Amino acid sequence: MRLSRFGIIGASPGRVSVLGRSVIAALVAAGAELIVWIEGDAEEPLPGDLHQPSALSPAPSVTVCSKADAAALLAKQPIDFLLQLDSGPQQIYSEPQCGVWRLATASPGPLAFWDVYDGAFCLEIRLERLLNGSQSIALERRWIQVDRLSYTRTLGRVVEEMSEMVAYVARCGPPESSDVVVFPPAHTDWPTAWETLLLQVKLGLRFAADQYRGLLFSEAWMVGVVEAPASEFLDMGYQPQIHWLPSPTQQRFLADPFLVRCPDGWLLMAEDFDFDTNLGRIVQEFSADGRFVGNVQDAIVALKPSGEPCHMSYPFLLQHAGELYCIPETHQLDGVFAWRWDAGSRTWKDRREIISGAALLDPTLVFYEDRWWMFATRKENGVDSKLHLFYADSIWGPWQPHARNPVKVDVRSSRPGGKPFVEGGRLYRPAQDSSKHYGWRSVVNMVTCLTPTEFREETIRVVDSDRLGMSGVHTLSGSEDRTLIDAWKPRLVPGRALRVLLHKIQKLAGLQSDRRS
Amino acid sequence: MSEPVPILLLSYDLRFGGSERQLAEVAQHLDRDRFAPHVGCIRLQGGRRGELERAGVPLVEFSFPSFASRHCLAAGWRLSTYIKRHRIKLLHSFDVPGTMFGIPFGFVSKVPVVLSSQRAFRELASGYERRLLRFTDRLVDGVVVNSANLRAHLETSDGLSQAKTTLVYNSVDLERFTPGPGAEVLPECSVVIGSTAMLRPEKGVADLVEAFASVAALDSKVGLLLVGSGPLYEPIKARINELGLSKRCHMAGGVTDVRPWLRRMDIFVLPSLSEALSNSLLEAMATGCTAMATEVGGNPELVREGETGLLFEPGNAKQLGVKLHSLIENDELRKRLAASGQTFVRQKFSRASSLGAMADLYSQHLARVRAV
Repeated sequence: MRLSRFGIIGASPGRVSVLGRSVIAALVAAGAELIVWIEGDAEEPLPGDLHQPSALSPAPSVTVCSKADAAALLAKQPIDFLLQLDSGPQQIYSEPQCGVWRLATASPGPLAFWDVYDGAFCLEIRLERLLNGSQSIALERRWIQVDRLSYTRTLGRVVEEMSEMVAYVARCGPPESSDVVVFPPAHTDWPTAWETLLLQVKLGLRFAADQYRGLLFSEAWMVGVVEAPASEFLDMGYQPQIHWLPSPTQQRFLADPFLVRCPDGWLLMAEDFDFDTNLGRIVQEFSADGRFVGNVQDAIVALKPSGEPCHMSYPFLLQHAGELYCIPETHQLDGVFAWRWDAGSRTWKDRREIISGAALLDPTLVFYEDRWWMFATRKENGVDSKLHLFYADSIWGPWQPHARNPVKVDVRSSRPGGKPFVEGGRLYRPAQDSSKHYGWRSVVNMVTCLTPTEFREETIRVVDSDRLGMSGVHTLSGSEDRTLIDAWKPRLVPGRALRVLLHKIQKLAGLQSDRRS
Repeated sequence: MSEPVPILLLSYDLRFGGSERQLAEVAQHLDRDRFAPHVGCIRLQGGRRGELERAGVPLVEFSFPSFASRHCLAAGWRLSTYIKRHRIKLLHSFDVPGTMFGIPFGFVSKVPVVLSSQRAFRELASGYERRLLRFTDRLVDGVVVNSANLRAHLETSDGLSQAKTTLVYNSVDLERFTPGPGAEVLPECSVVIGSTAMLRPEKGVADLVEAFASVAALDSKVGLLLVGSGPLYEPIKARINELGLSKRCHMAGGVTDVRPWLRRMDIFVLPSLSEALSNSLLEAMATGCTAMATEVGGNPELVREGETGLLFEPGNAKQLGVKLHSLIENDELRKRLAASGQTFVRQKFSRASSLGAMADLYSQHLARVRAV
């Protein structure tokens, strides 16, 4: 814990909102100690009964003082930072070494209300260090998904993420380099009774539309081949010509494709998902001339300790030390494993562990600036939004977690979505934008800083599914002068409604669990 | 002190183009005590997205696949909601797609001030785009243009009264575009002629290649440096090979930082067949290159014949060759034109003057609305 002593500017320890209590609890759970409470104004209220101001529990032993006495108290009792929870004018004190912090969102208040009301896909939350005037430093910014079906759930997500964010910055310390910025002033528009009622109507309509789509349609994923290198996608106006491979059957689809050129041809690896078993398998198609027809065969199978088949996806391909390895997602095995390609038998052999004890999704490896780097998200928290980074001198480890994990929290561009590539000396990282829904579209990020203690990247290209005539796209994976993508559109499946309803009833009755989790 | 006025700046995306650069400069450097800029895009992508995000400018996307799609209406609804939610008082579009999408929806959303930009000649737009632009001319409170020539042309060609247009020149970042060590290419060449442009037909780079062939035959120490990519990259490369000039020509392709390449050029040529006001020309002059440009659009507002550079007829490679030769032969003339061109640009085209003009324009319109 780098910053362990903190103070609060808020109404009083006896009247703290849900958000305030959650943030303080997260800091205390992370090992920080609340030292000072400066009595200020009331906190920004939340609609309805969500505000619920009450006393901190357990009551902390904290020195309480007024704003007038704060400077003198802070001089006597050194702390690392002050967190301003109240809605009063911003306070600047010279004493805490890391300054006065404040939580904010980019949208008008009340917290997250209009984001849900307007049907936004994601919202920005941030932790700012206040400076004089209207200037501030963004200590941490996160973009999280809006639950368009529930304001309560969205608010819960915001409160949880804000709490985590403050604890994260206290744990890791402020970023090494930050720009001084002026964010637009925030304002609050309280909803009228009519707007609150209209929100309920909107939520109901969205729920109905969601159920209609979920009961009748399935996502028909397809793999497409583009005869151009992945770097071509950096051109903003590029419109790819795509050769789509047929899906195996109506009940299965191919996704997460990767490609590699072998001495005797081309090898395509993909996930083959089966709606009946609700499981993904790793399949392959070998082609001597590089023309693929979708005639895939089973490639890699892994079993859970219970003997059941393990859900596998994202068969990342890596050429290293003269060998070809496939590193699929195997989060159900709580680890990442590599299989070696046997060119003679055209099979995958010699499973070897890379990382153990971590349920990582879409692990993506790249050798860059003398190190191996692994990008992934974690199954247990923020599958689509929290990017974790690991580094090692060898692909066999030991892998060290990055000092600032999760290095990025952004539902628009965190989760890996294909093979990274270098162009013009820059590292580019394809990723998934799941802000609207899972598998909405691909983005390409340009990595601007990659060290064991710092990570920064910028999204510079969006590959929109609607431009391809599809509803979603989530992998962009190049090999030499060819690129594979996957995309989906809704497919009307007769009898799906019955099957989905049956599945839901079984789940409710505890007869079946989601086999992918 | 009163709250800063929320304004929304619109463009198609945030790539490294001239319009996007102007938008990014306004969004980042406008006085934040007076204005709170937001940026809206049809595609939230491009190299400027990161710098705007870091600067704390709220970015919002109104994505739709085409203007003919029903999703365009949904995007318009989102724009209208955003305007209402963030109490936007002024909407300003910076490019043609931004204008075609944003102006009608901004108008029906009753934004108090709606401005568009015209930064290129409309002859480059398609028929339906031009009709739509004429329609949006009626909806806006003003049109910002970037050259006096374009302003006059719009009045004659599209009937857009000069009373409705405002001239705000492009600016150049004078701290970044300075003389300095250049890219290490064409080491044997004592004089390097160059250009930075998208390699498209209207940029006239093929004329420059032909003119270079004529001067290369007279002087063996002259080199050609072309920076930029585009559909004509391969044909131009083939033509250079065909002329046997490949050893004296360097094609750098698309680059993220043009400064080292400009610093390697002694003479910068802008051979465009159509141009409103070229950022490339401004950057080259600020860097200290001797400027040559076609006598079209706003080029003569920057290059004054014999004072700040030399002009030539568009498409006239022979005339370009003759004038290039005169500059190569006359070191004193070349240096004098470069110095006076650099001084001219530094005095008239600073970021501060451009931003000041834009801020004044916004303030005037907002004051007029408040007075009504």
